[in-house]
Amino acid sequence: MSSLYMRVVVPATILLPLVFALVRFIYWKKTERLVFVYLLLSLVFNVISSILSKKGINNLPYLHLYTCLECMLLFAGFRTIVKDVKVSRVLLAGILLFPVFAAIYIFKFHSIYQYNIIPRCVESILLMIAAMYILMQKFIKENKLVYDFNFFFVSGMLMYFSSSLTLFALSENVPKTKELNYVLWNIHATLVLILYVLIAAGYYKLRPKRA
Amino acid sequence: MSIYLYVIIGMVGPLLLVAAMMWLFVRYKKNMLRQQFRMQTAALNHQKQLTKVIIESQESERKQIGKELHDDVGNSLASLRLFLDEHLVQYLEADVKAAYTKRIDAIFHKVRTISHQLSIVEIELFGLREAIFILAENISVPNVFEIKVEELECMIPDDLEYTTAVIIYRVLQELLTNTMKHANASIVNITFECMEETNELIIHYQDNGKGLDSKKKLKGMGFKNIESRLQIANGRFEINNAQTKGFGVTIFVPFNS
Repeated sequence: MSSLYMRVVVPATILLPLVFALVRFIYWKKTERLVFVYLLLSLVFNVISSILSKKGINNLPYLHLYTCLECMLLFAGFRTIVKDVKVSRVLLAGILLFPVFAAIYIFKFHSIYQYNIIPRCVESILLMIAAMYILMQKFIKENKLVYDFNFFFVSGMLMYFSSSLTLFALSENVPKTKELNYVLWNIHATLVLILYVLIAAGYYKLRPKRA
Repeated sequence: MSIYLYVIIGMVGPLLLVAAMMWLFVRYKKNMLRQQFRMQTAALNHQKQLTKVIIESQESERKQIGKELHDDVGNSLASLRLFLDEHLVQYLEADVKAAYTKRIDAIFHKVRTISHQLSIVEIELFGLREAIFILAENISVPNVFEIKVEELECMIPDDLEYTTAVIIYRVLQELLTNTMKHANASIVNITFECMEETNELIIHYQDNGKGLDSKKKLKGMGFKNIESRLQIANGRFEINNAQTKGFGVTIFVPFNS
């Protein structure tokens, strides 16, 4: 049952934000476009990982690629929200430097066929900091509470990466007991589900701006 | 076993922490916005009260000046005329006498008009309805400048609060003054109707003059005065954008203002 939840149900829920995104297609701006691309990326890599996993092929090289692309897309998404020029430049630096860092780490110090703990943790920390900054700016500077797409997207990212950081950091250190592993990765799957639901809510909230 | 527990706590803990922080932030922001709104409302009400006091004291002063003009100056002019009639008539020719009598009467009439404009005695004596009809009659010049007052479905109420009645009167006075000074109009239509759904008195003012200069629209002191006065009565006005010739405005005043 828990395998079905983790391998089928949760990955399938990515269709929820995708459908809402397509329904609200005419109200998209830059951020919504980038998040849609991120969702498509997640879908594609989920499918690839499942197929390779069923065939008994090590799918970790694709996880390394996915980590780089995910970080670049999410930084680009945050960049469209941030108004400060300096912060925007920092995010641009992150988009350019993170893949370089991840590549150096994997090819020089690690193995492409092993789990990418350090890049994943670094990515999580950087995205958490960026998300917290954006939410603080939103709460402090805006004169009213606006539960718009940016709010749901950034909150979702903050919740997901802050909760998953511990798993990413310690996953190589936990003994590989099947049942207990399922518990951890099922919790991760639930976090992913929450993320997709929040992004879907963000797309649902898209409306034309009143004149 | 323990490392699994740490990982689970490490995953669930931050999730709950982030959710709690977001909830606290949202609550704090809502409270702040509520407080801001309350302060803004209080400031607005205070401003309204101040404006009301200023306008009420203005009206009181005008009433006093109007009364003094009527009583002192009017009486003095009447005594002057009597004095001249008694002491100088034997020394003057008939046409000279007629001339000074006419001039003194003209001054007396002007003083009386000004004192009535200042003190709006008609509202106190006859009520708003009659005061408006008298105003229209006094300003109208047959075949040159006509003011038509109409009542649709309900009569102009006489039981409005005195301040509200004065406000409506002054607003119409201001509009008529603007029309006479700037519009080059020959007809003014003032229509009164009652809106039961919103419990409002609606006044439509329309002249057939040259209309409002779009650059000066609503920036003049006259409109500012109208806006301030109507705010005291919780009323408002809208400029009519219809394609008719001339200038039109619709005024809304709640009955229970």
